[in-house]
Amino acid sequence: MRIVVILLLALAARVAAAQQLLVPMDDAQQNHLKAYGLTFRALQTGRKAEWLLNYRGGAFLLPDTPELRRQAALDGISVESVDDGAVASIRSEMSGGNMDAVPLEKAPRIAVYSPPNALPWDDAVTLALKYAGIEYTRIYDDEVEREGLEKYDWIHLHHEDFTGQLNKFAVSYGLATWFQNLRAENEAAAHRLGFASIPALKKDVAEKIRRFVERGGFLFAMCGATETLELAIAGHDVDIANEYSDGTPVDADADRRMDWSRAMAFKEAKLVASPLVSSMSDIDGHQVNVPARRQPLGQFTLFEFAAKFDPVASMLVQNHRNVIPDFYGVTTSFMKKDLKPGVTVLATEDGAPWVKYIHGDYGKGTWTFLGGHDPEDPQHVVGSAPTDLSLHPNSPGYRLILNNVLFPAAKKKPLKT
Amino acid sequence: MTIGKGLRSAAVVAALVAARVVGAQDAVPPLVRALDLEQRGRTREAIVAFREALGGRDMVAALLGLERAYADLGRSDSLVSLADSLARAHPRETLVQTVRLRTLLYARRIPDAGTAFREWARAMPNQLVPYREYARLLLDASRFGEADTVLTAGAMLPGGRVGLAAERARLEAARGAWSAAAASWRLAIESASFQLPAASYSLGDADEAQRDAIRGALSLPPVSRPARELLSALELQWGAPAAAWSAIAALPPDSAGFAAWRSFADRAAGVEAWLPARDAWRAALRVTCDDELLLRAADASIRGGDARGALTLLDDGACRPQRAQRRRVASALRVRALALAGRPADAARTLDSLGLADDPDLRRTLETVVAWGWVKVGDIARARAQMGDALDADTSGVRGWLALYEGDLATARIALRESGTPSRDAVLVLSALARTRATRSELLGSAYLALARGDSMAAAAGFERAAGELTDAAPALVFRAAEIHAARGDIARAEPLWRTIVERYGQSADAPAAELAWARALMARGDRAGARARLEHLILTYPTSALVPQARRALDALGGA
Repeated sequence: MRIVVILLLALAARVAAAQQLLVPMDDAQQNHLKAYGLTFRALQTGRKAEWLLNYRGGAFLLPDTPELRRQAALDGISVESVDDGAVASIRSEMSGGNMDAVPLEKAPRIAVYSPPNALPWDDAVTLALKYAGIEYTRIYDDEVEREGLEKYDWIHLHHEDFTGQLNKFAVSYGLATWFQNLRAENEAAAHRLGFASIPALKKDVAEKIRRFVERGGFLFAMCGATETLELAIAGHDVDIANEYSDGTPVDADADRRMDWSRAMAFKEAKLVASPLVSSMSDIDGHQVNVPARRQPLGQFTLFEFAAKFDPVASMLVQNHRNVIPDFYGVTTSFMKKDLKPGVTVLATEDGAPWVKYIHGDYGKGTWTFLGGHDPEDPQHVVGSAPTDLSLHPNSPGYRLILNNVLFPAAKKKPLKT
Repeated sequence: MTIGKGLRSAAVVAALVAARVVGAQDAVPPLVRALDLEQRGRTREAIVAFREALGGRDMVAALLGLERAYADLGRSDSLVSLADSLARAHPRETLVQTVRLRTLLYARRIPDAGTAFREWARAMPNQLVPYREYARLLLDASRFGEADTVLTAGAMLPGGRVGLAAERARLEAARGAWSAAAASWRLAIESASFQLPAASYSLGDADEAQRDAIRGALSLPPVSRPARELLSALELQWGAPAAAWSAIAALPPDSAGFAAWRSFADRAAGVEAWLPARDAWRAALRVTCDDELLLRAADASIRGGDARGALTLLDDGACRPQRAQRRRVASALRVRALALAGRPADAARTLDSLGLADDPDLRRTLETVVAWGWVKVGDIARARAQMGDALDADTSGVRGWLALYEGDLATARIALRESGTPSRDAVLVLSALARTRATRSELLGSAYLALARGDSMAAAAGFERAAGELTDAAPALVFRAAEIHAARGDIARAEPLWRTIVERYGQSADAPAAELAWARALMARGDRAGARARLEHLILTYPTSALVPQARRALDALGGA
């Protein structure tokens, strides 16, 4: 009798040890966004995880620990306990379809490039990271110039204007207090860091970001940062900033002198030189701030990729919806004609001359650009109240941002510096 | 812009009337034809007809029609050359000049708009109209720098500073220069008080931190009635009715002051700021003895909880109602005031003197009021006596409440449930009574009576004692006691009660509610770790509770789980 009890206990222990937590990411999930945070924190505490690409909306498989269960319960994240048999069954199902399991090994060190003072807009990535409970470091020009970017794996850029023209907001908000403060702070930073003007400083920051990617870093940019970063990189040796920002006019032959071979995503784009037109170039298809050219919002469709052969692109599009309502930003979309040949298009609007979501390699690193400002505030304007993500826990648009946060965890190679 | 729209509408109406008049004639005027085509959505044909109408006496209406039609087609810039030539032909025609400026601004031809403005200003020397219209258009287009230049130039003209003060104020408000905006609005409304609503709307957007600057600008001596009225409107908008009343309380007691006070009282009553409304009506009474004002002031005083203030008003011999109906209303108010002031015997005597044989409904209502007066002094027997036979037929809940105060839970349960639409208080009582099978509890009755008498300390202590007697309802009663302490701001007394509910009655329905209330109290006093522990315990222990989403939001507010 005693032997039977011991055997039963041993068996129970083995069963318990084999339990794992499946975090479904399809419609069974109550809080998709916090599920990313749960996975991130599992990695952060040294645990391994798996990303089950195209399986139940891109589910995660985590070790079944009391702490993770507790965290899931606190955050309202749906989890399912699965034993070895169930996991084997899942793997069998995945092997027969366009699915694959990607091991996640290490939580990336994240930096968000964002001004230290609150501005009258919000940053979708910061909102998503905070809501999901993912740790990040806020950096800005001082940190980039003085400390470099080597200690980070993943950098996010949002609405920054790397041409140094402060998004040409001077056209509409030139006399607004917040804009005047913004300009004064940026000018002070430029002088403090030894640059003659804001455009000179931003161009140098853009160059450091370019080198960060070239050496193996992961870059994720949204909104106006996508377009202006590329303009600053391609226009490294050209004056592309208006007189009001650096005291000299835009070079007369600026378009001709742009070196697009240095850029990551775009080629042969045309600058909008006028200081009175709230647009930087013809890269953006929607031109939200140019009334005569503004295009209406539609919806974009995520592409499906072969999970077994193209896991990176697959990770970036994991979602429980593949058609998502579009949303405006200073840069909303990217014209197809301006894309370099090697760029991977992740999402596009059917029939439109633009795409929404793109990705590519650059040197040893990768970059991903998502157009638009806030997936849950399609018409976002300066001064709008920040989005409350607790009201959008299943946001498919925000999932795209968080896919980018976890995707570097799947890469095994360390950052080359 | 508003004037433009008004004129446009007038032109449309006039044209349609004209159409009816000429209906019998063969030739339909081109403007009528154009408007008809426009209404039918045939915009391109309407444009041809509007252009035809430009040569006649309907030129302005036709131009406005063209502006609409081109805008519909997204071709506003097609109007530029036409507006240019019409403006040169009619250099003093305000609407034509405005359309020209608007068209140029929409086409982002800023230098051309500047030239057009200067031409107009030259054609009307020393007139403010060009400056005002152009500044408004620039403000609408958020072109604040140019608007500033135009307004500064206009201010140099005779009467320019005052005449353009409203536009200057809009500009300062858009820049966030609230003190300057308030000073400009003050200047504007002192010369044209009809702009007061616009000023209130503009300045109302100011953040909390900017409001003192506005208050300062509007309160500067000398006392200006329009400025004080504006400040009062703003304070009311900002949710400070007492400050709103203070802003205008010192106005001179003349006809203008009377109008300001009366208007304020109506608006304050509209947001249930009863005591400021009462004060304003009382001030108005000093100017004109109007018994309607007196009655409204007394009623507001009672609704605001100042029964004694109501009695003072009603006892004022200088302004007594003359008509019988109004005297009756005044007496009814006196009954209410006396009952609420804790003088039920006086209230009963006043009610008896009223008679009211011809109005049994009013009599019954006032009987109930007096009965509540007896409750307020703790005399339930007199309350019953006051209700008399009416109590048996009562469907308003009084019977249930009186039974409750006497500890007769069985009767209270039935009578309160049958009292039509029960009040929020009745629902709370019924939910507590539903937790116990007891039919009598004098301890619980006295706790509720203490609450009715406004003695919250005694009530909380009473609920705690009752919890010892009615063990099946103990968590609900302890929670009620904690709620009363918390409402008084006495968290030190509430906290041990919440702890008791969570630790001793953890399986009860009150436990998650107690835990959430406890966590919020901890958050309020800065104990983030304590609050986090409570919220986490709530979520993990009661995962199906309806309060879990609230707990998660509170946890997020603490900075994540």
